[in-house]
Amino acid sequence: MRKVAPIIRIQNLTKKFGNVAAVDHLNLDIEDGEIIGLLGPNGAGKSTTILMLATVIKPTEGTACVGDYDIRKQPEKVRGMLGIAFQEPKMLFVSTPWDVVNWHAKVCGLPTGERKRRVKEVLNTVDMWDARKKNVHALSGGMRKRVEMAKVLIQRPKIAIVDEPTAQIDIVGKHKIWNMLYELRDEGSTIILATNELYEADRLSDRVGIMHKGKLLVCDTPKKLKDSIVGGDIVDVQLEKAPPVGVVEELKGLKEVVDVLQLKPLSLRLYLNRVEEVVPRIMSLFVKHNAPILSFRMSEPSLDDVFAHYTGLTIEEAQRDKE
Amino acid sequence: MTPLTNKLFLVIERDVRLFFQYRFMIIMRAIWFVSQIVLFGLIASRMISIPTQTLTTGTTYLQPNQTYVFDINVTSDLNSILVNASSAQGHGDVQVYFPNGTLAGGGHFDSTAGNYSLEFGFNTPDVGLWSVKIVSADAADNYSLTAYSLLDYFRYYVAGLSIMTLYSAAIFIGFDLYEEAEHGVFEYLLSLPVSRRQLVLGRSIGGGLRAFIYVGPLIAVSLYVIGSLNPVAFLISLFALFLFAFGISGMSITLAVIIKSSDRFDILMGVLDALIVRLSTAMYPLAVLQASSPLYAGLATLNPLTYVTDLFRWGTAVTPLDNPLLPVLVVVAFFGFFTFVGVTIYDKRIEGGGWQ
Repeated sequence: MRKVAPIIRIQNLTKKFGNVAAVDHLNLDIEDGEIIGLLGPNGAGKSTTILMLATVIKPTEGTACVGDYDIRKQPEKVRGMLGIAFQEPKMLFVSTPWDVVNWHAKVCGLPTGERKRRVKEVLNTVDMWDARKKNVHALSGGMRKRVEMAKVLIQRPKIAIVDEPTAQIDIVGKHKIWNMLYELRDEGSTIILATNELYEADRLSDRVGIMHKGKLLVCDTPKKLKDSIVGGDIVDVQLEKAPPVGVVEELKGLKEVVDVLQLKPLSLRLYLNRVEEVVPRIMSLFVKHNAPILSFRMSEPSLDDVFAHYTGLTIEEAQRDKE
Repeated sequence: MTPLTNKLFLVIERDVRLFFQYRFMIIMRAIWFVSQIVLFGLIASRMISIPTQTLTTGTTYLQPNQTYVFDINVTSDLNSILVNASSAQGHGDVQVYFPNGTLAGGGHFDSTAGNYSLEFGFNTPDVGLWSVKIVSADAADNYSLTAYSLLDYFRYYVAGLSIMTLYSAAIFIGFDLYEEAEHGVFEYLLSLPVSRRQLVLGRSIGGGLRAFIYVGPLIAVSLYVIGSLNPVAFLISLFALFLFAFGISGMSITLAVIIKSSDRFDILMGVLDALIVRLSTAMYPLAVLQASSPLYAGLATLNPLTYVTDLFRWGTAVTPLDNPLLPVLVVVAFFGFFTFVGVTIYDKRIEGGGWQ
């Protein structure tokens, strides 16, 4: 099967502010139609990467190709393919949500008829139609975020970049924005999601790139990232009676199982890989040894564990470290 | 409209709308403008008597109680005349007549006592063939007379004030740039599918246009106060004002991008305002600058504000202008430099994050 060229190819992208490398030799291919999450604490280099891709700031070294266009050589063409929802909502002037979205749509070249229809549609989608005539400075943080998202939704760019789209937004609002991003992807956009929220990255992203101190440490599907932690999956088994002799050794004999601990007389904890593949064999083993199970609880590593695995810090610790 | 010009217009529209959000500033500036007219303009005009143009001059030998007439062809409204008259004997009378032959004013001079200057002001300014008569005293003698038109400083100042206000409104866009950089709006604008050139050209035009729109009603007030208009010249001066406002706006953007610190920009704008406005004919005539210091006058002749103000005064028939082409060319050159050269500087500084 012929491999399709990535829609974004980032090569050695570097941005230095003085002696500090905000982004340090970043290499990444982004496939057409995927949602790629850039996960990292504040100051990891996510926003700087985004600004370079959007040709807002110039790389110190390296480059990136967006579609067929080089960000250094054809910045205008690149900007024509991108739409950005910034971390901090960028309101144009003391104005209304309707003005902000309508002006953005005009700049992005939407024909008049379609624009009028879409402004209403998008403001309805983000639940801002009723507040469309309010002064933007009178809006709550969540409402302003939704207006910022509306700009990307109305633009329907080939590549949508969303920077911390749900920061400071309540859980209901988060779900709304996540659904919007899914819809945008379903309409054909590739989405770059910069976030420091682990659950958001895990839930939305086809692939997650973990960034720390300007470097991209790893990039893969959330599942593969989690599986990359040896013994990262955990199974807690509560038995009716003490485990028969030999069960622990047989469990340790399974190639996915990294370690088995007997925490209490009737409970075992298994550290293993690819838990979903090995669970049937574990169950069979207990049945074979006539060891009835009272409870069986599986947990897989979170992206926080993945982050900690690659950086030696939890994301909160990394955040504090930066501050 | 092509998509390119459409985007340019959108950038212009944004800046114009942005400016008119500053309602408090606009109202305060309008109050400032009117206050300057009704306070400073009216008061200062009582203090200033400046001859601007020699209307006629000559010497004649008169027998006792004889009259000699000096004709003056006046092409723009004459509000006041200053007559200097003298003779060896020292005494005589001066009479000034309107074009219709009615007496506008008269007085006695006594040059031996140092009283040889007579000033006449008219409530009904007029154009046409005016006349100044010198009437000898009771002895034959050589009588000399020179008549000057006097500057109507109030009208002069009101015209200059309009241009000063246009200047300060056009310069304002540089402050917007800092505001936008501070709030991240600059990043948003730079991420849009709009070329840098469209962006800076649009902002330069937008900055100029909004200043022009803002000053429009104030110019209307000025016209009412000045009370005269030379239609063709006024249209030419409006065109020059347009270009001047764009040029100032382009200059403001260029400096804002180069300086990058809002505090420094603020200070520089204050200094520039002092230098550009004071070293121009916005507030006082070139002859007065020349009398104060030839250096001041020399600098004022290099100042585009001088030329645009002179054009506006010509358009409003406040002062004549011998050659309007020169000031128009200066304003066009100023506009060209700061709009198109400014675009290039902006382009280089901004593209890729130089603004940070």
